[in-house]
Amino acid sequence: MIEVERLTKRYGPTLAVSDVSFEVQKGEVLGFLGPNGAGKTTTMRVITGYLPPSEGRVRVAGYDVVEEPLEAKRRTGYLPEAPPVYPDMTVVEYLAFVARIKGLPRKEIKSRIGEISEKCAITDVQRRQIGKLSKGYRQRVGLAQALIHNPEVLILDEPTAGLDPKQIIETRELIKGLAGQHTVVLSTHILPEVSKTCQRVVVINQGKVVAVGAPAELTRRLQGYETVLITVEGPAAEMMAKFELVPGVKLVEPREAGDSRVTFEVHAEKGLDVRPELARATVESQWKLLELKTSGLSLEDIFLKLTTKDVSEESGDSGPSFVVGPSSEDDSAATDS
Amino acid sequence: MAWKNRITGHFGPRILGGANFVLYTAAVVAIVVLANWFVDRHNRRWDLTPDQKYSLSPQTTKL
Amino acid sequence: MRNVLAIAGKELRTYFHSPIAYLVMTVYAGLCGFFFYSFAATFVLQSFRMQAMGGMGAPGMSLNEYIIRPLLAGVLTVVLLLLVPLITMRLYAEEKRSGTIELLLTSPLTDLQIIFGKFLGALALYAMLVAITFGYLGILFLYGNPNAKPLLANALGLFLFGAALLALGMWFSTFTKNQIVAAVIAFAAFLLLFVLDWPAAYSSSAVVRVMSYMALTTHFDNFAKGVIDLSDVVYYVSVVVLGIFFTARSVDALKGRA
Repeated sequence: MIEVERLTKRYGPTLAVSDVSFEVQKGEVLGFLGPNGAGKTTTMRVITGYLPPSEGRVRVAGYDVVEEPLEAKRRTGYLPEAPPVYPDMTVVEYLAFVARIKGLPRKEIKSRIGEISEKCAITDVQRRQIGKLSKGYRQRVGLAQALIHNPEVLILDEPTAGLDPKQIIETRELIKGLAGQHTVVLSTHILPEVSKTCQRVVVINQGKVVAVGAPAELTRRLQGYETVLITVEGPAAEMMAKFELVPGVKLVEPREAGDSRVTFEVHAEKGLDVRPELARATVESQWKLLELKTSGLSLEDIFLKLTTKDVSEESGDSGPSFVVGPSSEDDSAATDS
Repeated sequence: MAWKNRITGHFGPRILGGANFVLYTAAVVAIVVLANWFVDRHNRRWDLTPDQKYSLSPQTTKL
Repeated sequence: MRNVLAIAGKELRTYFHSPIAYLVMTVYAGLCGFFFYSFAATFVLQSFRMQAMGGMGAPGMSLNEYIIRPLLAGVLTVVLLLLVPLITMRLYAEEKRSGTIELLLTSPLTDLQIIFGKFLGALALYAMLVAITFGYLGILFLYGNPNAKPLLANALGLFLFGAALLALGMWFSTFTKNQIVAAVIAFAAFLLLFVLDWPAAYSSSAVVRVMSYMALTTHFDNFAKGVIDLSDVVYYVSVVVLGIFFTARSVDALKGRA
């Protein structure tokens, strides 16, 4: 649905986005993750046709955003970081205006406004001036405007910014509900949001794609080992020694200790599930097994790892991108897509 | 203006972008100046005042 | 095109949602009225004097010549130079400031549709000023007998003059996010284009003649007199074309292209 091909964007001498490539499938919800200034907003602006690319191509629903901008824009809904609202208009006036310029046929406008207002929970402020609305309502009006023409593609830049926790949950539910029918790209630096709403993630840093893939995949790739957390009641030193002897275990490290229980983080060879062995070892020694679970890097860790140092030390090359597709199982990091 | 991107495509807007703009502007300004010059030479007036106050009378033009 | 109209409608509505429209119209009506009154009063006084001195003095003085012309050419052009920036200042500046320009540029609209829409909206507001002007001129018809035909030229001239100013003002509005700065740039530019005509009073070198040709008010004189001169029409249309063209280029630049 969305194809970004070697996108580069320069503002004069500054390189905002460099050789970025990724694809978004129809109906997918893609998370766009990166620190501030990484190039998320710029990339989104190119996808939505606001900025032309310096190099590369972007296609939305099959239409090149530069060659056929009108067709591409017709099928795109966009919510920038700050909702693009006219403060002097009422909500209804504004939505009617947006509906018109998005090409919605006259007859449909009224009913669409009603529908979308309900969906975004702004029916009760319909006649109020947008300038007088609270941030939460304004954000929802912004979302309504992005959805009003029922676009195939939705680009949302920090859609939950500035909302209170309740509103955040509601918005996330709304976004999740859009998957399947719409193709969504949402950018954020709130990590939990990504794992809750997105199926795949593109991590971008300093204008370059640093990783692409489902959060779980990324964890596995980045770590190079499986992680298991085991909490046992027993003598710490002995337990550690015992676990280290389990075949496939590379590392045992105590993580937490309290009362007489210890939690160990165990690193094992990739692909090997050492839990049964660890469990057996525990039981054989007659220690009490309290908890045993697999663990991955939290998204925070992934994010930090990817954005604060080179991934190249892991893969051994100096390529900027690290692509993990849902189908690839090989270890080598691909540098082009 | 998509066709322009195709023309400059190989060179990238870096090199030809600025040139595009200058060329386009120069062309428009030139057309405007020429139009004004042209009409200055082949002017037409419509004097709507009652006694045609501001037009030269046929006698005067004959001079 | 319905998009152009949608934008024009939005601009017009926004003008009236803020004090600007009312402010501009009031100030214009006030100044127009004041000077109209002055010229009319002077005219009446002169007529009496001429009658007192030598029988039928009236035929030499026409209402068009002594009231309408000085009002239009002398006063209103200057007033408009000062007021139009207030109309155009928000056209692009406010969109940039509030981020709504992203909405416009990511919707299925061409840049030109947006530009024409805004221009039309501003022109609609300006049309109300023209209407006010002719409201005053209409008073002359109630009490006197001015010639109606020259008024056509007057109207056309006023429209073209305004259109030219609006197009330029719109272009200046693309330079900044700050409306005030946009207005100031327009004021300065209009002043410059106004003043270009002054040297012509005491010099007719080639340079001075070109300068005078470029001045905005020079080409208005004929219209004020009741004459439609094709070169004047072409001049104002040219300014409108250039204003719109440069606005389009400016919008391009805003996107980081060329």
